[in-house]
Amino acid sequence: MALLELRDVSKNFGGLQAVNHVSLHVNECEILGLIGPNGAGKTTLFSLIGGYYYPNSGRITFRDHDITGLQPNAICKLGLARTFQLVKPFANLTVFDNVMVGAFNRTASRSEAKERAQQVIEFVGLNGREAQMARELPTPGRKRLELARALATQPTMLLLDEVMSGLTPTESATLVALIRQIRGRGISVLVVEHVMRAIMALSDRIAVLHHGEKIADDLPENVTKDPKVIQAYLGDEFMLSEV
Amino acid sequence: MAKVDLVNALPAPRSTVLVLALRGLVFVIVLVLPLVLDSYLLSLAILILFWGLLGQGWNIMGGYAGQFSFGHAAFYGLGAYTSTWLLVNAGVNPWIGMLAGGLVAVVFGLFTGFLTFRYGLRGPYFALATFAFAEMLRLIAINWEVVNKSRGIQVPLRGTDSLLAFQFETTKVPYYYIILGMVLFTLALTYWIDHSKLGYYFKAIRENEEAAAALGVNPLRYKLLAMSISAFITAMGGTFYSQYLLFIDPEIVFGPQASVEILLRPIIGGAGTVLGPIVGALLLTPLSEFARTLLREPPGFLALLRGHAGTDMMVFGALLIVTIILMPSGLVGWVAKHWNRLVKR
Repeated sequence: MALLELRDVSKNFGGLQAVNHVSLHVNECEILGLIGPNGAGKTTLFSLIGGYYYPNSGRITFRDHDITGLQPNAICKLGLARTFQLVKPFANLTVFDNVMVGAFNRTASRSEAKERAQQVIEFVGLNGREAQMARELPTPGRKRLELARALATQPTMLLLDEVMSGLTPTESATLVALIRQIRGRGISVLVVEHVMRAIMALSDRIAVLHHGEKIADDLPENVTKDPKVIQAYLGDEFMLSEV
Repeated sequence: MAKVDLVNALPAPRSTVLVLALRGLVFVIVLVLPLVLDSYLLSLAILILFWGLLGQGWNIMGGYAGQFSFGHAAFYGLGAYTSTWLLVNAGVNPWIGMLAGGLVAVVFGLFTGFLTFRYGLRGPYFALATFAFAEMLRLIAINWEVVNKSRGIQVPLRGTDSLLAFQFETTKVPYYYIILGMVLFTLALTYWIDHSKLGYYFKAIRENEEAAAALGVNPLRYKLLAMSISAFITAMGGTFYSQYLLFIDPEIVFGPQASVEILLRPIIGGAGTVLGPIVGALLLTPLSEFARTLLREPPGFLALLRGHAGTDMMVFGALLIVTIILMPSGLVGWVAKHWNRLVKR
């Protein structure tokens, strides 16, 4: 059953058609990878789902609620949490307090929030750093913190915007394992990613965007063989030399 | 759990006892202070608490929620004018007038807050807008016959002291306890906010509004909440001022100097901390009084300063710049950051 569904969604900025009639769905407990070359409209699509942009046409539904045009905080309340491509830690709060903010999404009780925050911090492997200021964390730590805050809101689905970028292969491998574990807990995941190896290994299914249009939506092994995808990523010359 | 204790960064048990004893001592001293102070020092103590209260009001919105207001005189003046006008023209008890003033300030705060937040004014733009709203009120008061234009309003003398009437003419001591009560109340309130969901949400908005929204925080709602609490406390301070000095005019309560003085102490003391505004008031108020006397009657070698009122504001301006550069989180924030190192040494 589709948890998140986009029907014929479009968004243009002036003359630029950033997202062009895209339909997409994510099933329960599924990891869907969203890829595409630079400027393909991935981040715009993400912002449309997260409530930061309002689409020019089309509808977005989540758990049978129409979420088109809802505020980001209302979307989070419904159980759809996101991370940012450029991480946005609350720099002058401790790691623990950062996660506490997320934990308060489902409770007003400080002790319950504390318990929840501690669990999530241990789950993402930030334990021992609770009292550190978020601004003191190195990049991989910030990525984990971003993930921890989103998880603390107790979502049914996660939107991850390039969580692997800027990480070493070893670091991204541990993050891949972590995201698998998250899915294991019954949380669906939509990942936007540039790091191809990571996303191929991680996703159950992959959708490819190019110039704002969806050009492929299939199993990872099929997507890598799709001539349209190869063309989009490597250009026509590559296609010719292959032939 | 050991980890959670680490998070709270609580000092070792022995120093906890020490801290508790110190707190008790401070409390007792504060309670018996009026019995030992002479009239001048008592009025200084009242002023410290008074500025502490106003700073506390500003701190909720400017410090915790990070919405830098440069026009808190609006709330301060609305509190003062509402209760005083009601008292003089309708005989309404100032205590009730204080609540009414608080509500008027909250309504004004919600109105201006909705306009500014709705249209996404942030940082310096928001500060300028609040400044403009305060100036607008000042100009209205100056030109409005109903509130006596620029002549201001005088609270009529009663000839007797009365707690019920919030007016004392033979002694200042009750004013001290009233403002002390208000300060303790707002301290408790701030402490509660600091440790609750509300405080976490305020701080999240201050740090990064977009990220806060992604975590389920409704920025508009929580900013308006911060504005309301802040406006109410500040308006209470306005009523206290009017009942204490028995005279208000547009310049005193709506003027830009009031706005500046309100934000000065919490910033230097530590914005976004529970104790910051009080520490700031404790530090700056005596300094300000001292500077004022010095400028009025300077000793021989400083004769050139005579008559240059406003020099003290220049000194404060310099102090503010130095604080923001060297201790962006104020004195309290600085001490908290270096506490462990200071203690170990």
